[in-house]
Amino acid sequence: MNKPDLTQQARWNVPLITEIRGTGKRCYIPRPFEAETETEVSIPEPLRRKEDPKLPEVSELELVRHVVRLSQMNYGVDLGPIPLGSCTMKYNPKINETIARFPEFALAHPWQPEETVQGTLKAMWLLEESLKKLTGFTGVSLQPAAGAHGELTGVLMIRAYHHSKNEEHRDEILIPDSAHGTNPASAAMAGFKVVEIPSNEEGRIDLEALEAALSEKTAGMMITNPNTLGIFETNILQINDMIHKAGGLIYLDGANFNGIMGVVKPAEMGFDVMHINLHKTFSTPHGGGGPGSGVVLVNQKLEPYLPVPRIRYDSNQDYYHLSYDYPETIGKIHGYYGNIGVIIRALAYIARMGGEGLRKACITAVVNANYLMKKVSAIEGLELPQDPSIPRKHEFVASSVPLEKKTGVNTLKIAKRLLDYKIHAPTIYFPLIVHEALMIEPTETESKETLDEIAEAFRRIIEEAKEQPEIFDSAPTTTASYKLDELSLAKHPVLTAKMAEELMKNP
Amino acid sequence: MKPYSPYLGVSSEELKEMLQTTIGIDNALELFSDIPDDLILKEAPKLPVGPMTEPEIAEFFTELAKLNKNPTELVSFLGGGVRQIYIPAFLDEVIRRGELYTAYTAYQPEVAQGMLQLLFEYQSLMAELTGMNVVNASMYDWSTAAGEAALMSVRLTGKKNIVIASPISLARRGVLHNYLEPQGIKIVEPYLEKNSPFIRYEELKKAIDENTAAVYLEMPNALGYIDPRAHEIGEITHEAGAKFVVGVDALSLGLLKPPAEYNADIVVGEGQAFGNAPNYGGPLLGIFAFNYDKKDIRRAPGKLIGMTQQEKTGEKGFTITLQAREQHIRRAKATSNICTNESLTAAISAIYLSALGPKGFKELSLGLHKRAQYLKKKLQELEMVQVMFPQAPFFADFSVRYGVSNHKEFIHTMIDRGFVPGYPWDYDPSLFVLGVSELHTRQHFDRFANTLKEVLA
Repeated sequence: MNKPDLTQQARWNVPLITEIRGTGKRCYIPRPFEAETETEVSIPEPLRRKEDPKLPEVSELELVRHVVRLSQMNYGVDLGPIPLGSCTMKYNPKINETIARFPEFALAHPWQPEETVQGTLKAMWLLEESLKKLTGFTGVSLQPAAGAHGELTGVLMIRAYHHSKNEEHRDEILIPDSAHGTNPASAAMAGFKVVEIPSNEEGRIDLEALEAALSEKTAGMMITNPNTLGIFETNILQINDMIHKAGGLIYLDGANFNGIMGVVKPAEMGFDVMHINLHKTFSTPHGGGGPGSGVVLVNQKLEPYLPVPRIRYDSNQDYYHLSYDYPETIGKIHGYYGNIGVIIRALAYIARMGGEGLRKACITAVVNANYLMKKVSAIEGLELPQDPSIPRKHEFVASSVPLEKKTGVNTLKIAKRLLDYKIHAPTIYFPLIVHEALMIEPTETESKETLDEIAEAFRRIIEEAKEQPEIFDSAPTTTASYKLDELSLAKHPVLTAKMAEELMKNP
Repeated sequence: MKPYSPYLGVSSEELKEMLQTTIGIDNALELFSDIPDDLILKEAPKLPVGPMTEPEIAEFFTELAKLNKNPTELVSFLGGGVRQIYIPAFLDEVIRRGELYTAYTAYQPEVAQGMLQLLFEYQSLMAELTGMNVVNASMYDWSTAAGEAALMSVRLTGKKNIVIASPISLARRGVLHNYLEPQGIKIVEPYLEKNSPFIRYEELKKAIDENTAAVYLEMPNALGYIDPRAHEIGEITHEAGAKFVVGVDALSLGLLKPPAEYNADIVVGEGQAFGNAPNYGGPLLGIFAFNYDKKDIRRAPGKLIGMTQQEKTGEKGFTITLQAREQHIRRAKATSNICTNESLTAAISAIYLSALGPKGFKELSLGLHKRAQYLKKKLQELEMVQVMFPQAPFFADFSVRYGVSNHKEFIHTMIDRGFVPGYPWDYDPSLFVLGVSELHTRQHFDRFANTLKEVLA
């Protein structure tokens, strides 16, 4: 039996770096510029800074310790599993970090002429071609910097498509009630009205409700498939057919692409546009909240509207171009060409895996999810709100309703207690259609032993809920911090060190 | 022989056992049986790369990298907010701590205190630089931050025009369009003054009216110059009841007045150069700063990290706060769709700014300005080169004309001799915007001037 790990996470008392001031110490000293004759400052007095900003003054060692101690108070994939549903927190290969730092890639300025960055452009092109092969789409833009940014780009293209056909009245985007919050937010940013489509008992899109919602106002629908319950929309061909017949286009939220990668091509399901989160499916690190990359892929219908520039390969000259020559383009969505550092890492991952490796990664992720689902759903107190006989893809959603009814210990408390067991909490209370939801995605990079540990942690926690429910009042206790007072913070936000100082003076 | 992937957590043997003993099936593909048969690929797609072993990857990318000009052999005079920099060794070492960069967004704050504190420090330090008192935990880049600032101004004022008070790049203009046009927001662009890198003041005054939600001024602007009328532009903006949005190259703030001192309501900008490599344009660091107001803050986009107490001990602790504005709670009514931002680049910039300290920051900012001044002087000595707007103040970028008819050929010739001679301005490719970086030495500028003399002769 696996032993639970209840050891203490580091808990350093690290002062705010902003408190260390006025010491006269130096850390990074910029390279000076000395000319024979003193160069003047050409900036008129009224435009110049009068007072130095209050920055810290520390030695290099002090700063190194500051960050290393803080790092020990943080939890990442390198420390343990992060089974967050729809987040695909897989291992971030280290060779990718090394490659992205090659100075030829890292130091390139985005305004360098294309003849000086053929290597970067080739890497971008190779990633585009690989993603086309995996998805069946014909056009790509690497420009969006994150998943939600890709969604915005996608729905803006849908809008441009309808406008080009003089169908401005198509101003509604349909979105299932199980969708990620970014979907309705992105549709709204692109100027659309959002129409919510309920799910049926199976957790799939309700076809009757969909039929009733379709009209001459329908611009399109945003679908996550496999959906956020980890369930494949079996009727996807019919759904997409219905939307197309009504004149709408279909957007695939590719957050869950890890569940079908190399097994199903999204374009063949009838989708017109999708985004892929390279920081999920293609192993680039999440960075504690970013940077990501939300590459967008489209079929021929939407290709004219892709952001510019687009990469063109001239095989005669073996030369890569950035082309702006697309009159119907929606234009720019990012100041430059996207998060290229992330794109290089993703290409290194694809180079390691190859097509077959990626398919195997997907299948392994699905086996891991179903294995863990069997183990977790066998624990008394947890249940599967949807039919257990439906095979899940890369993730599954369990509910703690039975436990909550019996002991009062709910999903939030389970999640917090899991942290004590050195397992990052799953996504909780999402999708919104499941009560007390625990959305779990183990990914293919976790071992069977780790999956068993996760299941065992759940089992022990449920036992604790029945026997010593008082544990949950204070959990987590072995983490870098105890529970935080979020309520008073929301009432009186302290968002900078200066605000904190002012609060100290006038509480 | 297929290379075994070290990135998979279970072996084929283990997989088989898991399928048979726990899941109760023989073949993993049965888990895809609910997918229509004709959608299932019989075999994996063939990709243009891979599979490779790690040594092969290293070799493959080393070769690919060689197709780029080596930065030690190509001196690029390019700025515009993004800059080549030196990354201190200690910085790259600490930021490679897996606990930090392999972490998820800090929705479980009890295990994410490290990243949260770094982001709180970022917010605090960027507030010092801009003079504003709230900074969010980052946007994608300067352009998208400008788009979000315009949207926030519209929410705050209920008005629908954005007046652009500087020359801005075509790319920034394009991003603004995509953020604003779907909401029915109009972009109003007064003309440039003749022989000046600034907007015609009379026209600007006319453009700002009761329909104006925000006036957007860049300091420095896309041609590199700092508008001496910033204070007055802020005044006429506020007289009209509009928000004053200022875009900055954050490196300049060691030398230039913080925008809060000329009454900016929202400050946006680029912070990449604080410890992050330019990476051919991304990841970058979109700065978004504003002033605290109990109501206004609920209209702001992006994540905010707050400092509070641990319930049990009263010790300090950090968490994401005011989340009710965000997409995962407010969905279609959220203030923005942003979810994943640029947290790691923000954390890196906090560490870099801490390393610089007040003296280092000033030296860096001043050092860039001096380099640009020196370069300007060198180019003014050349007969063939026309340094534009010689009286207009600038920070580290300025504009020139080289007096050549074929710009593409000229650029190509200069690249062959080891220089990128600036960026051809979007609206007039005979105008080049030059930018300097910390990597540039006097020898670079002298050699550049000598090369120009030969090429233009």
